Amino acid sequence: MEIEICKLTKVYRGKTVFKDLCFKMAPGKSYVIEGPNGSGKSTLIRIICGLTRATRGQALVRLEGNILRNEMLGKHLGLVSPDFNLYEHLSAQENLVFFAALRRLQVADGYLQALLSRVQLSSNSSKMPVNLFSSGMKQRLKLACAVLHDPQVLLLDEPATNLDVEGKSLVEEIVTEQRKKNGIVIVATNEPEEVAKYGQEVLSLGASCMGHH
Amino acid sequence: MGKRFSPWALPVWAIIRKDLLEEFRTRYAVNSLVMFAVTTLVMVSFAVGPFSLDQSLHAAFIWIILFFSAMTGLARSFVKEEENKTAAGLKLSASPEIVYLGKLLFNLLVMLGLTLILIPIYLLLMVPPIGSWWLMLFILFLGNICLAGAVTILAAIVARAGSKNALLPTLSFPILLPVLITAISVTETALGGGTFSQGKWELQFLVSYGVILIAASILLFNYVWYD
Repeated sequence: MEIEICKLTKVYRGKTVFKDLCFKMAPGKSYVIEGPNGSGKSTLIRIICGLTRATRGQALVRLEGNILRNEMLGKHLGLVSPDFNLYEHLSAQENLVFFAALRRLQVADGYLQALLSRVQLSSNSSKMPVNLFSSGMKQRLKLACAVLHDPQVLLLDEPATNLDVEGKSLVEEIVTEQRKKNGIVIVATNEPEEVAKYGQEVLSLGASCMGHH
Repeated sequence: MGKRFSPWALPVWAIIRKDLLEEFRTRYAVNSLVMFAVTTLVMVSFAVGPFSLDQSLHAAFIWIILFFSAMTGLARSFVKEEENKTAAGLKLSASPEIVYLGKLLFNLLVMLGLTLILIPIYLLLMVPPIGSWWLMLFILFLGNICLAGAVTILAAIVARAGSKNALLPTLSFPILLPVLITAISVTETALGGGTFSQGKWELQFLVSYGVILIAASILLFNYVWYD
């Protein structure tokens, strides 16, 4: 798996969010996209996922040399983002079963329980509707959902949001494990501590082209 | 288990099941659909009072109530995904065709459920003569497929627009006008005791319309679903 960004430009409502970005991402590494609010970190993540179109240029995700189309991307990507919520009226377990079924995965109850306990959600809370969860618990469930299908690329947009110390260690553990599996991790953050921790390579987006989106 | 079904069956059923579970727990669509339908029906029955309506008016009332109920409730299927920021998860986890089919079948189930509630109440309050029950049931089923098919794709188009509530009926009306005119005509035939052969051309038109609409929606949904 390899990600290549070629002369990527995003213009939103007449304002240039970023211009002519070029970089490559190789397996087994973690990358940080940093920059102030409005510099386009989340937009860049959404473009890589195929959720938003670039104005110019391309974000190519290659698997064994073949470029993956939008419909195929989801199979290989796991996303945690403030722009992606889980279903509030379903329980944690129902959410995981739903996303597994969408990906045509037949997952055993034991696997789901193990995943939920890995993100430190107890078996009782996993049966509660998500709208009764605290914001930290919701973030943990998002992490579980992102790694559910064992993706090769993890895109984590502000992954430590609302997490306590244990939760932040969990993020660190997930990132380390993904690197060991020869996967790619992309973390978007503006926390210097996270930049230092996860940024084997850092892409800095400037503040010169601010735009709300 | 998964290998014995079509590769689409499991994810399509997952979307229907998820929407049914959410609907059962929140009752967003069902409440607005049923309240709109029953309120309209009661108002019409009071307005008509002791006068008896002819078949064409009965047929028109039934389809007007079904059309506006569909506009009230079915748009939620995609609007709620955008408003609750859950659409990204669907986009990443399933192909656009699967999402469209799942939403279409859920909307069809909702419309058929509404029809099951609405028609007995209509029969009770308005006492229309039904000459041909089978033709009546068939046209209700076929009309609901066309309604659900059109509203599902249009709901996906308007879900990210500003004034969704005004936009959906405005866009749907010209697209569904041929369906409504034809369905009203066949319903009139059914109320008058006509046979399937008497409504043959209209039924053929509705089947063709439904097949073309749904096939085109599946093919084009990719462009609607992604930015």
